[in-house]
Amino acid sequence: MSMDCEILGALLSERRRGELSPEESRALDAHLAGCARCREEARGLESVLARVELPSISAAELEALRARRFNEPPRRMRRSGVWQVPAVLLAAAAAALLTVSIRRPAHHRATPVQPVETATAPGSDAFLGDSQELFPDLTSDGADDRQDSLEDDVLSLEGQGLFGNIDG
Amino acid sequence: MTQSGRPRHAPQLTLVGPSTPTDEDLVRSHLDGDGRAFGVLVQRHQRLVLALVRRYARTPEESGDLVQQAFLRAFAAAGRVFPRMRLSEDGAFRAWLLRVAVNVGKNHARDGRRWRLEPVESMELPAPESAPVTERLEAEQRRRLVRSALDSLTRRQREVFALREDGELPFAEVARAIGITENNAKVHFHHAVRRLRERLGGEGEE
Repeated sequence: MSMDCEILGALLSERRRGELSPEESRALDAHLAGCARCREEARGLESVLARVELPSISAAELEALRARRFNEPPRRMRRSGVWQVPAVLLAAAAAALLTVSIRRPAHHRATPVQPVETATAPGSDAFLGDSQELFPDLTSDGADDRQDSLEDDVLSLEGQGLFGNIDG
Repeated sequence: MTQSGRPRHAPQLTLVGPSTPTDEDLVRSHLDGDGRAFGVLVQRHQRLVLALVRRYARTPEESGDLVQQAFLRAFAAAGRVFPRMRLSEDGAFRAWLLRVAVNVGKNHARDGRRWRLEPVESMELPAPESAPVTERLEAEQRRRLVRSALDSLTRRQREVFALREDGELPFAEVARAIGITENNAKVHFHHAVRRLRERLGGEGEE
């Protein structure tokens, strides 16, 4: 297997974008003519490159971008309306569970009787703690993730490469 | 003196003409208190940032939000990051900004998986209004399939792919941004495309 085999996708991408010189393009063709494996693979890779390509950025998109004010936050990212219903149902279910747990006689409990503050109203720290444990993303809204990424931006400058700390 | 080690009262930059400042000059001016410098950086790079984040957005407006978010994050971090940036290296700012943009897109995709579980029929679609509904749905389905396939890439493959395919950067610049060799960037890209082909199927299947 030659080095061209290991970078075939890159060579095809460069040819698609007209970045190969005529000599380089001829060398690629010569490689494909002599390497059955790459010849077979090339069609599939070219097809994928065509499928994943995004349409060009339109003038209207750029115009809209230029009209933005970059010294203020964007409008809040829209959330799916679908989650609003489950969130309401979730809150109702949690309230119902709490109600049941409050009303259950103490002798039905498998564990020792809990102090009254266990049955906490929604919105208190304990309630929030439970919901965070079960559904951490619903309450965090990704803020911690974003903060982590921000830290990564800083840390990456100290690492091996400017891009070194992006986490997957 | 500032954190960058330069006099605070640096001469104002000429932002156009033969002495057009480099990104790194603008970063220094920003650190020196030139209020216009960051705006010039925004103007200069907003198209590239848009190119990197729009795959993760459903509408042009959402793409714009992501661009704005990327620059705001860059602006917010500027005070901490710029003084430590290797400004002697050409492209240091741009490489860092690319990283911020890829992160914003990645985080948005992650948030999207969290929040957007609605059926395709209820989604806002980025395709032109004039396109038939079925066409728009199919376009959105294709976009979803590609995004899902991109999720299967390794972190490095995804970075290289985003910078090359979405950012349309030559491999030499992709490599410089990530801190790897050009040949290494090409190998990562090749394996990324092979992985996408496995996930997406299509013509020329082995």
